[in-house]
Amino acid sequence: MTDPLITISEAVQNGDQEQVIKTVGVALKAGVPASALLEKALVPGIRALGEKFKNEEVFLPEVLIAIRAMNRGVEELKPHFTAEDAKKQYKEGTVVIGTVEGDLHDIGKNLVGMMLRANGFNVVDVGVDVSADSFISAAKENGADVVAMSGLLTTTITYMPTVIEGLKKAGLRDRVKIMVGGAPVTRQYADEIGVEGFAEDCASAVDEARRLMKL
Amino acid sequence: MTITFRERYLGVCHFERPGDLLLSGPNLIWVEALREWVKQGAPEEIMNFFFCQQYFQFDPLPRWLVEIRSGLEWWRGKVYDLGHGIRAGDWGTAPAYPGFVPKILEEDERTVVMIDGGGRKVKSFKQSEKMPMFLEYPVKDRASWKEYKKRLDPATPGRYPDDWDAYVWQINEQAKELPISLQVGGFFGYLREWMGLEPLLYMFYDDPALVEEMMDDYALSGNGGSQAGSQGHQD
Repeated sequence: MTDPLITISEAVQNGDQEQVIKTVGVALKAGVPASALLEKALVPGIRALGEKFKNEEVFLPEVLIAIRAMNRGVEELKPHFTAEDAKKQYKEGTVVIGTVEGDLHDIGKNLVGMMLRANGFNVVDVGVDVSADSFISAAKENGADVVAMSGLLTTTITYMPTVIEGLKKAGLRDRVKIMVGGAPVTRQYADEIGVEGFAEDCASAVDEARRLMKL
Repeated sequence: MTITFRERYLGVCHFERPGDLLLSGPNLIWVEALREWVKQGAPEEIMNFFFCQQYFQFDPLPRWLVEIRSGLEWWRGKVYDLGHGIRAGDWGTAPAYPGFVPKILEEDERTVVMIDGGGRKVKSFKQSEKMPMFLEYPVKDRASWKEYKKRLDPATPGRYPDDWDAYVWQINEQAKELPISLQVGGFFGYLREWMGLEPLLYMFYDDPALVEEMMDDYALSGNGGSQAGSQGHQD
């Protein structure tokens, strides 16, 4: 009999939500704990897919359907989670994510949010056109470990330093790591504005967030 | 020897003019970017189209745009005054014709949520030309596609100049030295404009036959009139 953990992991990578739901159901009935299915099947599946994306072995559509398949699996697991399992689901840290003021683009930000969530981060999405005050409030209220800013336009990423300055004034700069991304954003720009993190795609964003959590 | 712009254009397109390049430009730069560059030290005159063209050494790219309604011809569309200083045209996503009548659904101090000429629900800044946030698209499934594709009918009255033969004669007379141009676009890009990026990407897996059908319908619609341009109207 095929190991259900492997079957689920592969189904996530293939974006096969039906297979994920079916095998999760069978495994739960067979007594496999929900936490094991999350940690040893769904998460490894999405991580493997993330690696493939970084290596250009798969493309954005495959990432989207893989995340969807994983989310369907998590929905199946939720009623079976213990309180401890639920905590573990987002054990990697809390990320407040948003698109900076003046910018209404959300596709990249949404993808990064989805990938972070699928990889165990508690993601607080504050939306688009987000002011420095809103970033700061959300970071305070949610005890953010990381503030992630997105911008698609050369004319809006210039707002990122305003948010950084606001976090400094609010006394949060030493407590939160900051990462930035978006089509015109580069590692050089991230260095220039004095932030620790930069990612050029949704899979790299997961690695970068993990790296920042250890800094 | 002087060559016409058409000869130069065709030469570049056929890789016969090594070192020559046609750089199009100012109309593709967001006004906000120009303003930002002025702040950063560029001359204020770059806000002027013609100065901008010279300043960045863009080519003027003269061309004769064929007057077939492919859905992108802002210069032929109807502009609606939606109040509060907001004006929007009924052109949107090629080759949909007629376009949708734009209307405001809600607004606050800085933004409006509206239906644009492409039938999309978008959120835009009132005082800005930045790309909007796309909230909803006209095509969601087979039923909405069936409705939307009525706008792709190549025979829709008004899509072509009334007297095609006279129009062709006119172009041949007046545009001898210019490239003939038609607004068309790619198969993925227009499907994305109709359906939205993420829904379209899911649709490739959930209902690939619908995606194929949409591409076929787009091709059969005349791809913005290209069949007519090359073969002679819709015959």
